[in-house]
Amino acid sequence: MHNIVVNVIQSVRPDLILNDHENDNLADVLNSLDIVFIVDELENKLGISIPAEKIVPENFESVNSLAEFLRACMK
Amino acid sequence: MRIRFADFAIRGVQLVLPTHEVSFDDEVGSYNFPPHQSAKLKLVMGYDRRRVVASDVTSSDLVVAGFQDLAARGLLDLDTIDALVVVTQTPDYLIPGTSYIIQGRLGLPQDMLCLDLNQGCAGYIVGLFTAFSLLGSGNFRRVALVNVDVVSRLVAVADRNSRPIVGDAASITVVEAASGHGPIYGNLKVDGKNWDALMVPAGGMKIRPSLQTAVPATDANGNARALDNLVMKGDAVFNFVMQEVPPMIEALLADSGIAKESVDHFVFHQPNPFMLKKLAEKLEVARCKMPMDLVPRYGNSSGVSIPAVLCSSFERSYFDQPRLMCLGGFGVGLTWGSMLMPVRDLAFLNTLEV
Repeated sequence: MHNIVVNVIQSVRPDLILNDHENDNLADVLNSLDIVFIVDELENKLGISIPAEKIVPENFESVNSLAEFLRACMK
Repeated sequence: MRIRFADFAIRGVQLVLPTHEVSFDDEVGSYNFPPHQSAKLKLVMGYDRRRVVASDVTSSDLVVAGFQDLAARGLLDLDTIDALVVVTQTPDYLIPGTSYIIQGRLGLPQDMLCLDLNQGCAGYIVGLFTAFSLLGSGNFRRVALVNVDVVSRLVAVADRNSRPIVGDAASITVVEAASGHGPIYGNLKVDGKNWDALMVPAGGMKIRPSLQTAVPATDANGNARALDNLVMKGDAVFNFVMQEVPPMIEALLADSGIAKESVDHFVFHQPNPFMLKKLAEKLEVARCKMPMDLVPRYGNSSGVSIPAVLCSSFERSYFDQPRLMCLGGFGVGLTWGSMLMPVRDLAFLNTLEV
């Protein structure tokens, strides 16, 4: 899951150095369009629907928190 | 705020669109998008075609053309309008209100009420609430509700957050007393603490327009805009819509006692297809019941988007039978509101291009 998240974010924002955002500060550098793209790409890749109310900055706080959130979505 | 009306009805709806169409493909060079994102933006956010006015066309121009067309075709006797409620964020002037300009240009009777409301994406709900309330006073028999915005004139050329989806349009909705019609359920909420989530900083009395307010500055996302331009906090608006709109609709349905399955269509403000898709999922409403294709065709026309969907997605004859429609608006203010009402026997439901 971690690698999928990294690949998706990298495809949307190739300018980001994701090693800096493993544990925090990811939401600070993503804008709303980035998040829309990331959600759409993750939904397509994972075959899931991310609930609207879960598309909040807390779940995009870091690469690890996003991966953890997606794991929970898939349970 | 819970709302309930009875014995009032929508008599007809006319959409007025500028003929001038621009496409995202033609404008994409203006924005700071990586080239590979363009196709995705069209697909996910609906960035495609939109209707915009020429630089000298005002809100009253669109509305006057709409009324003149209705009168010329014998669909509306302008002399029977008791009140003109104009909902706009883009008035012709700060003073006077645009309703007076429209009244004067059309030569409407002096014996009437003209009222201007500054509202945007919830403006159709707020406007209907106002129009029904006027009818409820007993002093008015027929109210013309106008929603109009030419927001394209307020967005910066290089603002990729707003410009690719903004469309201009006007609508005229005639509401009147109709014995036995209804009931109409509704609700309205306001969060003025977040008034700056959608705004134009300069132009009012707080910051007067000047040479300085016209100078663009580039933000962290590469959007260049001036204080004279519309600015939207995309994250805040997205979160607001996702948090507040689904419970608003659920509360409306609970208040009415009407099952979700009994609603024929959910016609919501059209921010972009992504947000509408998410709302449909959250509300567990079939996508065929929730139109979400206005933005790619005409753009997001703020308070006009709900009547724009009514006029462009449905035939008038569809309402020969009563249809239960759930309308929802949300945006500037912040404001969110919804109405659940039967719609039937419309005298007109059409689109005029000017």
